[in-house]
Amino acid sequence: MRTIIKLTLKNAIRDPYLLFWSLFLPIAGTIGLGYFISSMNFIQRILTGMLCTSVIFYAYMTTVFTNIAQRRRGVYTLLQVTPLSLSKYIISISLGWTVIASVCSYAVLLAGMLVFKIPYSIGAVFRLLPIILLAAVGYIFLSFFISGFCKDEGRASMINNIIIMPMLFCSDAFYPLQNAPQIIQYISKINPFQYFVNGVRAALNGVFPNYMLSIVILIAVLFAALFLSVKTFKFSDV
Amino acid sequence: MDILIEAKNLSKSYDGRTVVKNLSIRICRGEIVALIGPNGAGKTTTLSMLLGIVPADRNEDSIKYWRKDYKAHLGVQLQSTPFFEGYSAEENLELFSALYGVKKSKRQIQDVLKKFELYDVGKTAALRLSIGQQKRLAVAVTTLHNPELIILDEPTAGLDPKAKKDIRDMITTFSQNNISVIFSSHDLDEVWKVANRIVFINKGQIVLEGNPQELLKHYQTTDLEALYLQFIEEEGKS
Repeated sequence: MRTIIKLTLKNAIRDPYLLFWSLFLPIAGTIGLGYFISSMNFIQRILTGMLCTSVIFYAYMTTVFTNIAQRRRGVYTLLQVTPLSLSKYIISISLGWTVIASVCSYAVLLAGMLVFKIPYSIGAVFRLLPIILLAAVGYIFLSFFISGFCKDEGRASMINNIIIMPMLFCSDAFYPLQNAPQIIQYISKINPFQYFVNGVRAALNGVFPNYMLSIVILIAVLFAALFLSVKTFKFSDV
Repeated sequence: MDILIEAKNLSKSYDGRTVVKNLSIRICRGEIVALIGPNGAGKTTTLSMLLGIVPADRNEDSIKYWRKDYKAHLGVQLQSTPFFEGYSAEENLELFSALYGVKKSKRQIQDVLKKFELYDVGKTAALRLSIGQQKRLAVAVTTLHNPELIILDEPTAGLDPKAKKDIRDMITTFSQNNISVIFSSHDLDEVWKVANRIVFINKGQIVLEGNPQELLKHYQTTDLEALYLQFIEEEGKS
């Protein structure tokens, strides 16, 4: 398991998609939007929203596209004839990606805190870690599940528009939902991404009940996604 | 004789087209078995069923392996020589070692690279290697965990004469080290030089089986190619 995690980390660092989707885009987005509307409340909303976006983009882009490529090359067919169990493989590779996703999200947070001089306490920054880890693992498992029904990269991009984008925009990551249509407000209540955003804000602002509720929901999402990913994993396209 | 794999009455159909029909095969310890036959004869499907990659249509329990944990003692090279994208030859060896549950030091990995004449390209991305180098790497992967049986699907397809000879020598070395081998091939010269038993498959059934020298003597033909063509023509008439 250690070798798989180590090599996953090594390979992830060389990945240009990682740099763009999980570092450049969220950091540039935070700084750009923060300077454009210089209200501290809005900057904090954007910073936490971008931090969560960094995690979900990394989880989705890396997992789905890597899975499609490996499956098409027949690597997963070969995996079937090795003694390593599928769940162990998924967990090992996901742990590697989780570390990267967590580092990226902390880089986004640090950039925002430094540029806009936001004084989050060290305790708050540490409280954030369980939320980020749970969300990253959960979204990576979910992306394993999604990659099962994407035959190629084109379909993966389409699914991105159908699932991931609505998850982002049916949450209050970037704007408050008080004045949004009733249906959007309802969707946000069953949107797992919303609970990730809530958890991040609760961790940074020290709102304990919201923090615990988010942890419980993220754990439930994680186990559901692991179950789905193992049950629907496709070794080959044939 | 010590039986490693015994399969009885394997059948496989795709969309109503029978690819393998009631095929029974047995692989014993110390054997080098060659599966030969025309394109589409069912060689790869037979190997895939033996490996458990493709389920048989019925009699799913009709394949018996020499031990419960046979996957840990089985080396496999698939026709498509799949490797993990983005990883070097060296990293692929490390990863596959981990999948087989074997811990290899850097030095041991380098020794494998040297043994298979891949040392100079160890840091090159596996997918950028030449076809010959990729085949050698794929065969190297099969040996990482000191298997008792190696299954090779067309190991010399698309290779130049020197690379073919290298693979042939490797198969001979496996046999000298008491590793059994089953391989599919279209190269009858190679089969003649390496195999001690041939299994001739046509239209999903075994039409001829035995030691190459004895078969030539029995059918009073001069070489395997003549015997092969004789059977193809007879099958065509029937």
